[in-house]
Amino acid sequence: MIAAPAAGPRRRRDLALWLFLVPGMAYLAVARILPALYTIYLSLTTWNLQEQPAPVFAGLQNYARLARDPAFVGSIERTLGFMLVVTTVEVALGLALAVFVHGGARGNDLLKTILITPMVITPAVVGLVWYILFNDNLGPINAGLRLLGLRGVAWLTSGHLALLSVMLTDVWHWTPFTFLLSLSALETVPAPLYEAAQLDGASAWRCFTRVTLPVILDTLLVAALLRGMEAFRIFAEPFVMTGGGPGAATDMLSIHIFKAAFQFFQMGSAGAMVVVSLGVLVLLYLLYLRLVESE
Amino acid sequence: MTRRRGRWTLPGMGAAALAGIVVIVTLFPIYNMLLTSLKPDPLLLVQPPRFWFPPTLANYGQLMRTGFARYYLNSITVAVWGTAVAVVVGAMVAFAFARMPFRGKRWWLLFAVLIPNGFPPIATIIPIYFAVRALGLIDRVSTLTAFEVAVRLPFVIWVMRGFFRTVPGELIDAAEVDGCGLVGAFFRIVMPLAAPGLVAVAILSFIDIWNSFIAALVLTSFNAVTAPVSILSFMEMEEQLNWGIVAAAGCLTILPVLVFALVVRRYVLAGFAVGTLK
Repeated sequence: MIAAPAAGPRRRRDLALWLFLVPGMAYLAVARILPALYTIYLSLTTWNLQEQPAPVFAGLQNYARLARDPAFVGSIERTLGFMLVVTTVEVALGLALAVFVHGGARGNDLLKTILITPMVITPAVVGLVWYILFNDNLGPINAGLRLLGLRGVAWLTSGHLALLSVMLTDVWHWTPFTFLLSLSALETVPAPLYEAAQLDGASAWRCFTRVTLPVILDTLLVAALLRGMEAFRIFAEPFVMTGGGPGAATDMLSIHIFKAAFQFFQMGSAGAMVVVSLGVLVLLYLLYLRLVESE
Repeated sequence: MTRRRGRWTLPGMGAAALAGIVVIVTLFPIYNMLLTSLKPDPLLLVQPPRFWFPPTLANYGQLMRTGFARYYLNSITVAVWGTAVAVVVGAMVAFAFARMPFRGKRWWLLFAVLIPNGFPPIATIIPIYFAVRALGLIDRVSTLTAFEVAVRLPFVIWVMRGFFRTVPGELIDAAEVDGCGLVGAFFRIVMPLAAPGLVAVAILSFIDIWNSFIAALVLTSFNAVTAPVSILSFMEMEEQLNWGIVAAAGCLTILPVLVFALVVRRYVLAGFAVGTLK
């Protein structure tokens, strides 16, 4: 005879569930949420780690100063610009590659495997890979240009070009991601839709804009938001390639924060920068969640 | 859809050429680093770069005398333990979330799981650095592992919750009544059922922890340095190290993630799909 779990076992069962839940959640609270809240508190204080023993409350001073700090404002603008450019290029290029691979017939699997390789590579090593490529002494790019009778280019050491070089690196690194998402979306477009459109005599371009694009648009938006968030917080690649230089040419927001906190020890000010950066990220993230939720 | 392309038609050749260019652009940067790592010292700075030379492992031999082996081992320790702890603890939390009716579940999920999932490491690294320094735990592999677990946990919870919701409740009830108890039901019934998801999440966590940079940069200085951070310090001491050695460190660093990407591609792809679209 089997009885339904009685009061005793039921309490034990609830206890087990709580034991499952509480350690993980408590750890998250201590190691993720508390530090984030403390960072917000820090942003309202001044604290130079080398001169003051403890943070001194300062209200919104840090924010007021940051708003007038050309280095910080420049860093935000640069990071937003970087984000917009690489996200646009990566989504467009990824989609184009996906359409190309989706349309072909043979050897697709191998091609797919090769094309997504850069995506998994350690960002710091991506920085090293492209540092070598761009390097005037080591790299083949300038050597190739010279073979063509052109002059070598100061890819990473010129203030005008360094950001572009980091953008190229990011496009190489992350187009595979938008390619992968686009390809998986293309595979969900029902074939009968195409056939109907072709019977109607629609051109390939019309087919694409009227049949394919509406179906995959949501995925493209998701890809763009995910890429945007990642691009906004880029750190390792420029840090390895240029250290944020020359001058401030590749001083992305994360690098700026890292230097403020761990080279200049301006903890309050760095905290305020983190809060600003989190504001942007949370905004993008909520957009993303809404988009994914509605699917 | 049914349109067939002949191999030797003009569009067919154009497509093949395009595919070739894309493959070269994708692989050449990595190949170039591999070549650099195999170059004999005297050829390293020869311009234009040589693409054909007797390869040597001398750079790898010298790399082993720099302490890189220990940094590499640190990377392995952090990634393996970080993944194991994050996956087991995360799966337990996710299971409790899926099975437990409690008030404000959605809010808990949003604030404790989803929003922290969107935090970059830099959001919490400043207070963590203070806390770790005050406790005298800086430059330890275990400290770094604990930090990485916290970073990956929300992602694991979120994805595993999706998997667990597909496990029928009756199955778990039946196992419980059969005397397994809830804990037994979890480890004997639910975990095996969710194995494909667990593997995918574990691989993605491993890759992410292996690739992470900023935490190790801040929280380690000598003992607990990981492979990616050691590359940065190698690049800064180019007086003593030639670029072949640095390139060798780069090649060894990406070896595990490349193997994962190639061998278990199916899992990785499935993982990306659940991680980004669900």
